[in-house]
Amino acid sequence: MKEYKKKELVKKRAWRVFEKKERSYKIEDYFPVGYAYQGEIRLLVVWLIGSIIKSFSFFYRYYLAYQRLWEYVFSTQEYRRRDGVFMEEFSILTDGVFRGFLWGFLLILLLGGWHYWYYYRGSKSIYLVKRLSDRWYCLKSCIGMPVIAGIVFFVFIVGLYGIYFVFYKWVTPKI
Amino acid sequence: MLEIRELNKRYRGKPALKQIDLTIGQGEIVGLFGENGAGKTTLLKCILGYLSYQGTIRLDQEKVNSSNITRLSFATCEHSFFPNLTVQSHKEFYQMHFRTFREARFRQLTEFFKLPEKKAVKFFSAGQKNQLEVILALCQGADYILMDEPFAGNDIFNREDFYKILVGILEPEETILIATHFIEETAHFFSRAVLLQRGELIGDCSILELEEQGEHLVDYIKRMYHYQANRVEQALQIILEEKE
Repeated sequence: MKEYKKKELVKKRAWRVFEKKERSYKIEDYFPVGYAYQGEIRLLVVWLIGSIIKSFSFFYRYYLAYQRLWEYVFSTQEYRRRDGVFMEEFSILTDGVFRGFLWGFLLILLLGGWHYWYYYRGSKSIYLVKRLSDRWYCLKSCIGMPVIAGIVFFVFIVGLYGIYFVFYKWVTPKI
Repeated sequence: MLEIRELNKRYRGKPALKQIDLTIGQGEIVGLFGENGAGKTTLLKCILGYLSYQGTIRLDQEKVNSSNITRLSFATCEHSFFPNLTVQSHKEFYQMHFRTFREARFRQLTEFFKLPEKKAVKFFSAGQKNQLEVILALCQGADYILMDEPFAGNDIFNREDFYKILVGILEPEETILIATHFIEETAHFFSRAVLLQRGELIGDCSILELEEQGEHLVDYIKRMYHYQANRVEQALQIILEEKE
């Protein structure tokens, strides 16, 4: 019986911890109070997908640069490496590829300001927010999601850059 | 005790408050009077820390900061609620952020004023918005409740209801500082009147003292402002003479 009670107590404690964690990770906590955040998340996701697709232009550029390396020899009916032509530098191939992400950072910055302005729209709820004992609440609610979005964008830039670099090294023929 | 010492505030070099010295004890109901631009709102915003200022403002010997700011609540005609939230969501938000939130008082007041529970506040009428604003300030559980023209936009019956409720529900330790232009209506409700003129404190008296002297608050305010009762007649006479 004692064992059972102990187990129950442990379960209850675990549930409380879980509840607490769940409460502290609600998505709306990273937005101003009462803010219709769904549309903004949709916009960020669409922007992210768009930026990723735009970054795929790397492969097109790579394809063109790769084509320039070869010439077709009609006599032998096969491709031959052109003399004196080298693969474009990686930095040239990736130039502007991540521009979608960079505009995304600007959008994120504007969203921070938009969130702050939200507290002045329809009422001056900023007065209430500034009266909370949590003095970081205003800052958290205004830049919480922009910071998260910024990190996600950054991770994608680094990830894609890495993937493209590995691809470049792996596919580009050695001299 | 709320102590204000040598408070000065300037807007772009222009003085808005000059050398204000004021002490408000717990349990007082203070009326803050003055014409438009006298500095009433500025004084309240300085107390709440919304504006920078020179001088000292102390709440029980401590500077007003994030550790004691919840002891102050504020109802303003500009409204400080969240327009997208419902009454119910406001209750939840206040419960989460103000440990002293008076839930029973909130329920009673919202029921009394028949505020819709599940409608976003932005769809409320102007009167209902004012009601919610004042209710939230009263129910936050603050020791000092500051109000800036809270009843502007409410009809006379509504205002009367509010005065009665304020007198009825306030607990002895709750202090109220109200900036209002409804002097005659609210005169019987205050224990003290503070007068501002062009940023200066020109009067501070207890209503009891006034009553003992046989003077009405409105007359006291007019006297302090050197109000000329016949100035309208004089102006009209000049206009008529010019017409003739």
